[in-house]
Amino acid sequence: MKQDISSGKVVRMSRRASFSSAHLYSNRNFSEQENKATFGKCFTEHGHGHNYLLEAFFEGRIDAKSGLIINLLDIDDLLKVLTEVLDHKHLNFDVPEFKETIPTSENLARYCFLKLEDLRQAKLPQVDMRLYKVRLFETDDLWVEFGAST
Amino acid sequence: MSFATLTRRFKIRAMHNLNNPDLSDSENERLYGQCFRTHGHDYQVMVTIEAPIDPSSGIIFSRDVIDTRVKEKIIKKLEGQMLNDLYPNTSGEALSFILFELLKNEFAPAKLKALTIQETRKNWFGSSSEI
Repeated sequence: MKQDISSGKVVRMSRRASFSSAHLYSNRNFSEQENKATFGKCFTEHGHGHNYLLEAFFEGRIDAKSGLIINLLDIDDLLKVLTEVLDHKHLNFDVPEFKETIPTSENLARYCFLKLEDLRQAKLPQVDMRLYKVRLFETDDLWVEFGAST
Repeated sequence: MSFATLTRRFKIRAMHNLNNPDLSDSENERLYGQCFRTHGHDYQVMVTIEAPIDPSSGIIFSRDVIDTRVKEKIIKKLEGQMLNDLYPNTSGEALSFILFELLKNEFAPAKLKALTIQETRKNWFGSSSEI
Protein backbone atom coordinates (compact mmCIF):
# COMPACT_ATOMS: atom_id res chain seq x y z
CA MET A 1 0.00 0.00 0.00
CA LYS A 2 1.37 3.41 -0.97
CA GLN A 3 1.92 5.76 1.91
CA ASP A 4 0.68 9.36 1.58
CA ILE A 5 3.45 11.46 3.13
CA SER A 6 1.67 14.72 2.28
CA SER A 7 -1.44 14.23 4.41
CA GLY A 8 -1.66 16.77 7.22
CA LYS A 9 1.31 18.79 5.96
CA VAL A 10 1.16 22.59 5.70
CA VAL A 11 1.74 23.95 2.20
CA ARG A 12 1.00 27.10 0.20
CA MET A 13 -1.19 27.79 -2.80
CA SER A 14 -2.46 30.74 -4.82
CA ARG A 15 -5.45 31.54 -7.00
CA ARG A 16 -6.02 34.44 -9.38
CA ALA A 17 -9.04 36.57 -10.18
CA SER A 18 -9.46 39.68 -12.29
CA PHE A 19 -11.65 42.75 -12.29
CA SER A 20 -11.81 45.97 -14.28
CA SER A 21 -12.35 49.24 -12.47
CA ALA A 22 -11.88 52.98 -12.74
CA HIS A 23 -10.18 55.12 -10.10
CA LEU A 24 -8.70 58.54 -9.59
CA TYR A 25 -5.99 59.71 -7.23
CA SER A 26 -6.75 62.92 -5.40
CA ASN A 27 -6.56 64.10 -1.81
CA ARG A 28 -9.08 66.89 -1.28
CA ASN A 29 -6.90 68.32 1.50
CA PHE A 30 -4.04 68.81 -0.97
CA SER A 31 -3.71 71.79 -3.28
CA GLU A 32 -3.81 71.06 -7.02
CA GLN A 33 -0.04 71.43 -7.07
CA GLU A 34 0.42 68.99 -4.17
CA ASN A 35 -1.90 66.48 -5.84
CA LYS A 36 0.07 66.76 -9.09
CA ALA A 37 3.38 66.40 -7.26
CA THR A 38 2.17 63.37 -5.29
CA PHE A 39 0.17 61.48 -7.89
CA GLY A 40 1.64 62.66 -11.21
CA LYS A 41 -0.45 61.60 -14.18
CA CYS A 42 -2.80 59.61 -11.91
CA PHE A 43 -4.27 62.93 -10.69
CA THR A 44 -7.04 63.72 -13.18
CA GLU A 45 -10.56 65.03 -13.02
CA HIS A 46 -12.39 61.86 -14.01
CA GLY A 47 -9.79 59.16 -13.49
CA HIS A 48 -8.81 56.18 -15.61
CA GLY A 49 -9.16 52.41 -15.52
CA HIS A 50 -7.24 49.16 -15.21
CA ASN A 51 -7.66 45.45 -15.72
CA TYR A 52 -6.61 44.47 -12.24
CA LEU A 53 -5.26 40.99 -11.57
CA LEU A 54 -5.48 39.77 -8.00
CA GLU A 55 -3.46 36.82 -6.71
CA ALA A 56 -4.45 35.43 -3.33
CA PHE A 57 -1.86 33.36 -1.45
CA PHE A 58 -2.99 30.85 1.14
CA GLU A 59 -1.24 28.59 3.60
CA GLY A 60 -3.08 25.55 4.87
CA ARG A 61 -3.04 21.92 5.91
CA ILE A 62 -3.59 19.10 3.43
CA ASP A 63 -6.85 17.46 4.45
CA ALA A 64 -6.57 13.70 5.01
CA LYS A 65 -9.86 12.91 3.26
CA SER A 66 -9.73 15.19 0.19
CA GLY A 67 -5.95 15.42 -0.21
CA LEU A 68 -6.45 19.16 -0.76
CA ILE A 69 -6.15 22.26 1.40
CA ILE A 70 -9.44 23.25 -0.15
CA ASN A 71 -11.35 22.87 -3.39
CA LEU A 72 -10.29 25.71 -5.70
CA LEU A 73 -13.93 26.33 -6.59
CA ASP A 74 -14.57 27.31 -2.96
CA ILE A 75 -11.80 29.89 -3.26
CA ASP A 76 -13.29 31.09 -6.54
CA ASP A 77 -16.58 31.64 -4.69
CA LEU A 78 -14.80 33.87 -2.15
CA LEU A 79 -12.97 35.75 -4.90
CA LYS A 80 -16.23 36.27 -6.77
CA VAL A 81 -17.89 37.83 -3.73
CA LEU A 82 -14.84 40.06 -3.29
CA THR A 83 -14.43 41.14 -6.91
CA GLU A 84 -18.05 41.62 -7.94
CA VAL A 85 -18.16 44.65 -5.62
CA LEU A 86 -15.22 46.13 -7.57
CA ASP A 87 -15.72 44.88 -11.12
CA HIS A 88 -16.89 47.44 -13.70
CA LYS A 89 -17.23 50.12 -11.04
CA HIS A 90 -15.68 53.49 -10.40
CA LEU A 91 -13.96 52.74 -7.10
CA ASN A 92 -14.04 56.35 -5.81
CA PHE A 93 -17.79 56.68 -6.26
CA ASP A 94 -19.28 53.17 -6.18
CA VAL A 95 -17.42 51.48 -3.32
CA PRO A 96 -18.23 52.91 0.14
CA GLU A 97 -14.75 52.11 1.54
CA PHE A 98 -13.18 54.40 -1.07
CA LYS A 99 -15.39 57.43 -0.58
CA GLU A 100 -12.82 58.80 1.90
CA THR A 101 -9.82 56.53 1.25
CA ILE A 102 -7.99 57.02 -2.06
CA PRO A 103 -8.22 53.79 -4.09
CA THR A 104 -4.50 53.57 -4.80
CA SER A 105 -3.21 50.11 -5.61
CA GLU A 106 -1.74 50.01 -2.10
CA ASN A 107 -5.10 50.76 -0.45
CA LEU A 108 -6.91 48.45 -2.85
CA ALA A 109 -4.52 45.59 -2.05
CA ARG A 110 -5.05 46.18 1.67
CA TYR A 111 -8.83 46.23 1.12
CA CYS A 112 -8.68 42.94 -0.81
CA PHE A 113 -6.49 41.30 1.83
CA LEU A 114 -8.69 42.29 4.78
CA LYS A 115 -12.00 41.57 3.00
CA LEU A 116 -10.86 38.24 1.63
CA GLU A 117 -9.60 37.03 5.00
CA ASP A 118 -12.92 38.11 6.60
CA LEU A 119 -14.82 36.24 3.88
CA ARG A 120 -12.70 33.14 4.36
CA GLN A 121 -13.28 33.13 8.10
CA ALA A 122 -17.02 33.68 7.64
CA LYS A 123 -17.64 31.16 4.85
CA LEU A 124 -14.99 28.50 5.41
CA PRO A 125 -14.38 28.49 9.18
CA GLN A 126 -13.86 24.72 9.24
CA VAL A 127 -10.90 24.75 6.82
CA ASP A 128 -7.42 24.84 8.36
CA MET A 129 -5.97 27.63 6.26
CA ARG A 130 -5.16 31.34 6.26
CA LEU A 131 -4.63 34.07 3.70
CA TYR A 132 -1.05 35.27 4.10
CA LYS A 133 -0.80 37.83 1.30
CA VAL A 134 -2.35 39.21 -1.84
CA ARG A 135 -0.57 40.53 -4.92
CA LEU A 136 -2.50 43.07 -6.94
CA PHE A 137 -1.34 43.88 -10.46
CA GLU A 138 -2.47 47.31 -11.64
CA THR A 139 -0.56 46.76 -14.89
CA ASP A 140 2.15 44.30 -15.97
CA ASP A 141 4.67 46.92 -14.83
CA LEU A 142 3.23 47.83 -11.43
CA TRP A 143 2.02 45.68 -8.57
CA VAL A 144 1.53 45.78 -4.82
CA GLU A 145 1.76 43.05 -2.22
CA PHE A 146 -0.04 43.35 1.08
CA GLY A 147 -0.05 40.69 3.74
CA ALA A 148 0.57 39.52 7.25
CA SER A 149 4.17 39.60 8.48
CA THR A 150 5.40 36.14 9.37
CA MET B 1 1.54 43.09 11.90
CA SER B 2 1.16 43.66 8.19
CA PHE B 3 3.50 44.55 5.35
CA ALA B 4 3.12 46.32 2.02
CA THR B 5 5.44 46.41 -0.99
CA LEU B 6 5.31 48.17 -4.33
CA THR B 7 7.03 46.67 -7.37
CA ARG B 8 7.77 48.45 -10.62
CA ARG B 9 9.06 46.63 -13.71
CA PHE B 10 11.53 48.14 -16.18
CA LYS B 11 13.00 46.86 -19.41
CA ILE B 12 16.62 47.14 -20.51
CA ARG B 13 18.07 45.86 -23.75
CA ALA B 14 21.79 45.15 -23.51
CA MET B 15 24.57 42.81 -24.67
CA HIS B 16 27.00 40.72 -22.71
CA ASN B 17 29.04 37.56 -22.62
CA LEU B 18 30.31 35.45 -19.78
CA ASN B 19 34.04 34.93 -19.61
CA ASN B 20 36.85 34.60 -17.13
CA PRO B 21 39.89 36.48 -18.45
CA ASP B 22 42.22 34.07 -16.64
CA LEU B 23 40.99 31.17 -18.76
CA SER B 24 41.68 30.26 -22.39
CA ASP B 25 38.91 30.53 -24.98
CA SER B 26 38.38 26.79 -24.99
CA GLU B 27 38.24 26.68 -21.19
CA ASN B 28 35.76 29.57 -21.19
CA GLU B 29 33.65 27.80 -23.79
CA ARG B 30 33.62 24.65 -21.70
CA LEU B 31 32.66 26.61 -18.55
CA TYR B 32 30.06 28.97 -19.99
CA GLY B 33 28.88 27.18 -23.13
CA GLN B 34 26.90 29.42 -25.50
CA CYS B 35 27.01 32.28 -22.95
CA PHE B 36 30.69 32.78 -23.84
CA ARG B 37 29.56 34.19 -27.18
CA THR B 38 28.43 37.81 -27.15
CA HIS B 39 24.65 38.01 -27.16
CA GLY B 40 21.85 40.24 -25.86
CA HIS B 41 18.76 40.14 -23.69
CA ASP B 42 15.59 42.06 -23.05
CA TYR B 43 16.25 42.24 -19.36
CA GLN B 44 13.31 42.87 -17.07
CA VAL B 45 14.25 44.57 -13.83
CA MET B 46 11.77 44.45 -10.95
CA VAL B 47 12.34 47.03 -8.21
CA THR B 48 10.48 46.26 -4.97
CA ILE B 49 10.12 48.93 -2.30
CA GLU B 50 8.81 48.34 1.20
CA ALA B 51 7.30 51.06 3.39
CA PRO B 52 4.11 51.74 5.30
CA ILE B 53 1.21 53.06 3.21
CA ASP B 54 1.20 56.82 3.73
CA PRO B 55 -2.21 57.69 5.21
CA SER B 56 -2.63 61.00 3.38
CA SER B 57 -1.58 59.91 -0.11
CA GLY B 58 -2.48 56.21 0.15
CA ILE B 59 0.76 55.21 -1.56
CA ILE B 60 4.04 53.62 -0.49
CA PHE B 61 6.19 55.66 -2.83
CA SER B 62 5.71 58.00 -5.79
CA ARG B 63 5.71 56.11 -9.10
CA ASP B 64 7.20 59.13 -10.87
CA VAL B 65 10.09 59.33 -8.41
CA ILE B 66 10.82 55.59 -8.75
CA ASP B 67 10.83 55.95 -12.55
CA THR B 68 13.12 58.98 -12.44
CA ARG B 69 15.64 57.41 -10.05
CA VAL B 70 15.75 54.06 -11.85
CA LYS B 71 16.18 55.79 -15.21
CA GLU B 72 18.92 58.00 -13.80
CA LYS B 73 20.85 55.31 -11.91
CA ILE B 74 20.37 52.23 -14.07
CA ILE B 75 18.64 52.57 -17.40
CA LYS B 76 20.76 55.48 -18.68
CA LYS B 77 23.88 53.52 -17.79
CA LEU B 78 22.91 50.10 -19.16
CA GLU B 79 20.43 50.59 -22.02
CA GLY B 80 21.94 49.56 -25.35
CA GLN B 81 25.34 48.93 -23.84
CA MET B 82 27.90 46.16 -23.91
CA LEU B 83 27.70 45.29 -20.22
CA ASN B 84 31.21 43.81 -20.17
CA ASP B 85 32.51 47.36 -20.82
CA LEU B 86 30.91 48.38 -17.52
CA TYR B 87 31.36 45.43 -15.18
CA PRO B 88 33.87 42.57 -14.92
CA ASN B 89 31.11 40.04 -14.21
CA THR B 90 27.85 40.39 -16.14
CA SER B 91 26.09 37.23 -15.00
CA GLY B 92 22.46 37.62 -13.94
CA GLU B 93 23.56 36.87 -10.40
CA ALA B 94 26.17 39.65 -10.45
CA LEU B 95 23.86 42.15 -12.16
CA SER B 96 21.12 41.63 -9.57
CA PHE B 97 23.65 42.46 -6.85
CA ILE B 98 25.21 45.41 -8.71
CA LEU B 99 21.84 47.00 -9.53
CA PHE B 100 20.62 46.47 -5.96
CA GLU B 101 23.72 48.32 -4.70
CA LEU B 102 23.18 51.15 -7.20
CA LEU B 103 19.62 51.68 -6.00
CA LYS B 104 19.64 50.74 -2.33
CA ASN B 105 19.94 54.30 -0.97
CA GLU B 106 17.65 55.95 -3.50
CA PHE B 107 14.31 55.52 -1.77
CA ALA B 108 14.99 56.36 1.88
CA PRO B 109 13.23 56.30 4.25
CA ALA B 110 11.47 53.57 2.24
CA LYS B 111 13.52 50.39 1.90
CA LEU B 112 14.66 48.76 -1.32
CA LYS B 113 13.34 45.32 -0.44
CA ALA B 114 14.42 43.41 -3.53
CA LEU B 115 15.81 43.73 -7.01
CA THR B 116 14.92 40.93 -9.38
CA ILE B 117 16.22 40.42 -12.90
CA GLN B 118 14.55 38.28 -15.50
CA GLU B 119 17.25 37.59 -18.06
CA THR B 120 15.14 35.38 -20.34
CA ARG B 121 11.70 33.81 -19.98
CA LYS B 122 13.43 30.89 -18.30
CA ASN B 123 15.65 32.48 -15.67
CA TRP B 124 15.47 34.93 -12.80
CA PHE B 125 17.98 36.32 -10.30
CA GLY B 126 17.41 38.36 -7.19
CA SER B 127 19.10 40.39 -4.50
CA SER B 128 17.28 41.30 -1.35
CA SER B 129 17.82 43.44 1.70
CA GLU B 130 16.87 40.35 3.74
CA ILE B 131 19.92 38.36 2.64
